[in-house]
Amino acid sequence: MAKVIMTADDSASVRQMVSFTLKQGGYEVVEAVDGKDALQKLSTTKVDMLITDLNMPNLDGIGLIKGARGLASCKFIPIVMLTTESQDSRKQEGKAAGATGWIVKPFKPEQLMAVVKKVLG
Amino acid sequence: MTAAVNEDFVTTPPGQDVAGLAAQWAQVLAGVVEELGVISRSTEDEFLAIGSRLQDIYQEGTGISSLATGVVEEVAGGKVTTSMAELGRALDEMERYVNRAGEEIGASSDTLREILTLLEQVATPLSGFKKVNKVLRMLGISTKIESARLGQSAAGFDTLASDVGHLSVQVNERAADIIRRKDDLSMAIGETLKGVLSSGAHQHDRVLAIVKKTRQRLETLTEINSRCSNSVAGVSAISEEVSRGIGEVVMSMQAHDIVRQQIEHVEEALGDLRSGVQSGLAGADDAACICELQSAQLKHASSSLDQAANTIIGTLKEIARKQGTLSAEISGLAGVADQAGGSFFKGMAGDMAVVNESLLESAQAKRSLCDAMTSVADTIQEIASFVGDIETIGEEIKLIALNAQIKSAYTGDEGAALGVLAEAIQRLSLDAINHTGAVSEVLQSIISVTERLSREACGLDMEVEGMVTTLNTLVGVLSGVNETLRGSLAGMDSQAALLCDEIEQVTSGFTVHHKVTQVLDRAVQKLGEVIREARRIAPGTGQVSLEALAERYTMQSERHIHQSLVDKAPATSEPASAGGDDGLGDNVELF
Repeated sequence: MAKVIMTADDSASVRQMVSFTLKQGGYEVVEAVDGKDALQKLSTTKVDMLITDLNMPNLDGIGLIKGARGLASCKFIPIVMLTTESQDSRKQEGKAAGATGWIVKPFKPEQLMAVVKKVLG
Repeated sequence: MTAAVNEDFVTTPPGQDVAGLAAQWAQVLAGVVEELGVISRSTEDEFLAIGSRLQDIYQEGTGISSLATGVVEEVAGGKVTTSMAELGRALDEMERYVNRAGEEIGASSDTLREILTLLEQVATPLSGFKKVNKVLRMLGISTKIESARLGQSAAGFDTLASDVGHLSVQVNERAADIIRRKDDLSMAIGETLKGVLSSGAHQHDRVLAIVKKTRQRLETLTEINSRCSNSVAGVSAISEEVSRGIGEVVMSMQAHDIVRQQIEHVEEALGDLRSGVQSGLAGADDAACICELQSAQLKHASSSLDQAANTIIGTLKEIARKQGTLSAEISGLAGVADQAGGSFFKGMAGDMAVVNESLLESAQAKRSLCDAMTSVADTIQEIASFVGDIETIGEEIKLIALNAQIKSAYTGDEGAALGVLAEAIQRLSLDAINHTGAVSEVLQSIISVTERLSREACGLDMEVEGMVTTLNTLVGVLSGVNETLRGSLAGMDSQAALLCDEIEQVTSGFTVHHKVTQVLDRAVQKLGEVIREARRIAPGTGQVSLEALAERYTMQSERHIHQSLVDKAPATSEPASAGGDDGLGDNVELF
């Protein structure tokens, strides 16, 4: 059975490209339009990995990670930040919140797949 | 870009202060902010439209590559390679067969001629029978005359003469039968000889011509095979290029989000400036510095989006071009595209069918020769039985003559003449027996020659059957390959055409970057007017703090532009780095 990955991003085109790349790799994808939407879906849907943007309306990526880590089903899943932000201070913030990794946009499909394979084992 | 007339600006008279211009600038900035707001929120649909087709384009692209790989593997694969090797062997065998068949035809013709000569040899002993018959009849008459002269003392010689006369007629009839059969046989052999020579020459020339042609085709196939083997790497490289191209499109598609964020930051900065100008908190220097900075950000955004859009269009068109070229190249490689109304393999299969036909015709000719030999053997048997009859008659005459000799001795001196006649008849009977021996000897020679030729001709027939089976198998294999290729190539062509159409359709409707560039250029132009007015009043002290603006940035590129303006140095486009030395790339870091 294919593993399920959630992509949370307020940009529909980014969600589309993440979904395209992951589906090519044989994964199932759940999309969320912001942090709040993602948290709601995570409470009812079991996912194997979360890929989230940093800056989103309603609830940002850091808030989403903290919220997700509070859910039993997401406590140990890999969470990768996919954002245009590359400042070390923000990365440390993400790491402290419980992020597994950090990818600065734009990503190459093979990079995203390599990261997914590495963190999902 | 040509500067458009900006209706929001009127030339400010020298000496007019910032307060006088505030309302005008606020109005300009409000217009720019509004336009930027609209453009940053309304341009995603075209990107999404392309993104939604990317999956299909990718699948069609990889589908064409898979078909191309399939075609190349089919042509260069084991089935064709094995068939080629078998075909090579079959051609060698066929050439050997044809050459040997040529020799066999020569030998068969010689043998048939030898039989004809032997049949002619039968004529000499047969003419001896005529002479025996003639003399026997004369002796019979003489015996009757002598018997009549002697009267009662020669009683019984009259019957003897009648018997001899009767037997001599039988010898004559059998000899005539033999001559008739011999002549019929000579004629039949002459016909067979003509047929063997004609069929042999025809079959020989036709098969050799096809063997030559097929060898040339085999050489071409070897070249195709070699080219296909070499092109496997090329097909694979094109597949990789397509994947790489799709990767570039995926990267460029993300430019929308990046540019949107940059425009939103400019929108916010200009909104703040507008408020500052209106409230009097921002002066001419602030307006100039902030507008210069936002103008630089917008120029960067415009250029990034334009570059990304052109990459998307160019890459997709390149994918279509490469797949179209791949399809045409593979069709050419397989030797099909350049041959109207048929294919290389079809031609080859056709030639094989002609060879089969020729070999079967050859086999038929051999069977005819076989049948002819059987017929010769039958006729010779018939002749031999006639000869046997003559021999029996000779023996009978010999006995009659012996009886006559004994009887003439009893008759005494008067029967001396009859004794002489009886002795002569006995000699003739021996001559007849000797003639039958000569004829039998010739017939025996004909029988052994006929048996030899019959063995050779029928043996070749079996060999032909083996070759026909092999060639039929090869024709089947090559036809199968041809059918597979035709299907794959047709599928590849139509998929390539579909892909080209789809990409053309997708890219021709993708014009969002022109619209964005137009709006951003107009904004830059309007900001330029503000900058010129502001710099005229405040020529540039560099004392304005832009720190607050920097906090808004979410991208390294924005910070570079900001820093270069603060430092008055050209912006360097350093790639955003997330660190990490794990082979995942500079923008990836795993914690």
